[in-house]
Amino acid sequence: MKRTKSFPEITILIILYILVFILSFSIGRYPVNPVELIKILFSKIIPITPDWTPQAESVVFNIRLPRILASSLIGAALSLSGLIFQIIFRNPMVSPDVLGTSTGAGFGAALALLWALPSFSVPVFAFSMGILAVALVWMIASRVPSNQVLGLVLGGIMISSLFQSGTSFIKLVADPEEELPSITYFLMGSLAGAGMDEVHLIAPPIIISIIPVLLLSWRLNILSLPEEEAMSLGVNTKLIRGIAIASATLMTASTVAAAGVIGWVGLVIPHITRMIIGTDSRKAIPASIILGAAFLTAVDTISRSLTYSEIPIGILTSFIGAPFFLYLIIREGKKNES
Amino acid sequence: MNLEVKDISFCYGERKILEDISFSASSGNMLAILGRNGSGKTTLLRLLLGFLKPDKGQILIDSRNIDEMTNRERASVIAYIPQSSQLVYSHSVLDTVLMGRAPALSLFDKPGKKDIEKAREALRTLRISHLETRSVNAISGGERQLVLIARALSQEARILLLDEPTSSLDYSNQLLVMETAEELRRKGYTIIFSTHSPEQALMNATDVMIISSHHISFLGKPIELIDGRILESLYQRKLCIREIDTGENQRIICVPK
Repeated sequence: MKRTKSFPEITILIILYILVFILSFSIGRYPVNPVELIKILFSKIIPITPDWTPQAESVVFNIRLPRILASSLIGAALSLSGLIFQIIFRNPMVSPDVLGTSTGAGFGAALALLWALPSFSVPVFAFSMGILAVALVWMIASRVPSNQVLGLVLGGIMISSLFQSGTSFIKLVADPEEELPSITYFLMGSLAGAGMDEVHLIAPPIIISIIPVLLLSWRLNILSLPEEEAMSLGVNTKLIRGIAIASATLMTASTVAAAGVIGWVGLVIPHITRMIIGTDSRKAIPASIILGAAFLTAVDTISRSLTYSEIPIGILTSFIGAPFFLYLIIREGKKNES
Repeated sequence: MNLEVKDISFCYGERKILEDISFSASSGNMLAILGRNGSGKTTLLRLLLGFLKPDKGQILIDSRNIDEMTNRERASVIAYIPQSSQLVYSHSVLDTVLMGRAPALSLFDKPGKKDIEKAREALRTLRISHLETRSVNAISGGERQLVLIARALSQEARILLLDEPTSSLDYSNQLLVMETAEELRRKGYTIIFSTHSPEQALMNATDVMIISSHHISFLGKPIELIDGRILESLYQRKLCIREIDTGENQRIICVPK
């Protein structure tokens, strides 16, 4: 991939995100014009005499702000997790659920919904099961010391399949009138229920996970080399891989806990990031965070304003992600042919 | 810098790979390791790099056991140059060479101006500065091998281990890589390379080691192989080995009869 100067690209991505941010606030069943929006937002920082309706302020702060914060955090987390896994497994085709985090978390949420536990327990169960799934995969991989990466990937497939079967079983025994629809809807992935509570729930783990990844960004370049080559450069591959997997898992489990399983973002956005910015992780990591946040916020805006009843965002990301992925496969194929 | 291998043995499970291997290599040596497929050449390199631990014996660098060194300490004295191949993620040549600075940096450090200058110096030494901004997957195999050598130079290790450095290269690139290795040897680096080519070992190395049946069956100067018996028994082929004057220097060549 051609080396490019990253500064203008990152700046353009930030501008793109700001545009999406403003547009997302403005668009919806209750439109707020951008000037009014900026005034409302700044009124919290500097004294501005209100010339807007209380409804507009309520829409901005109580409905749109938590939703945009949630979509930005989730988009950033999924995109970055995907990028991390693609680097450490040296495979551009893996996504954040490669180690079973999403299926584990989905199973946990389904279990909480089946038992009709209080609503706060859904994200707690999702989160715990997501982490449990990866812990199991890690245990399996540690029994294959000669090829830990292979152990992780195969363990991921097995554990994912196990949790997937568990979820199917839950669906089978769930009450078809009440529990089954809510389980199905949750697993589709949606930000419809995202409020400040969800933002408070996911912001700390996501931000805490991003920090070590940013600090290790240069070493992650080295981890993209074959294992022994990376080790010969004096890099503690096990430690860095461990930190990277823990961070990506924490982020992915958080997203599932707040909004269900949203596919494709973690697979497609890292690809677009590399196309724009190149493979150097020092630039690709911040770029994937910004692009993931912008992408999911844009898709979420579409999902809540396209039709009268909201389309679950997981469906839309698949509609956009799958054709794009096909395009990538064909493009790669043509490149290899030439 | 002096590398000393003392009586090492290694088994994969029950399978014996290497037994009682002892040799040393010091500054200005270029040691070729010859052996049939599966003879343990790569295993020996992996032992020297500390990826594997010998069941018996010691590997010392300047009298210090490599087992007692951290990854970073080892990487600052011994560098590995793998076979050149296309990578999944193609970094720029400068970024690739810059990775050699890793042993000098702590866990959360990123390379700074001094490190970039060291990487550029390595590119200049190998006369490949013009490739700096190119992607490593977009350059030729020979150039890529030179980039990996440049990375080893920026690593500032004085012992360079090359694993079949010319195996996937065309003839001119093979010559280029081996001449570069010879040049570094003259500058005082210790070069150890494994190869399937007796021609290359005889022509470029200062010392040759042959591994067969888990042991070192020969360790000496290339000229000592001139009668052909040892190499003929290794490869089960009749060979013709001659010392010739190229006009510029004396070379030993080897061709099948």
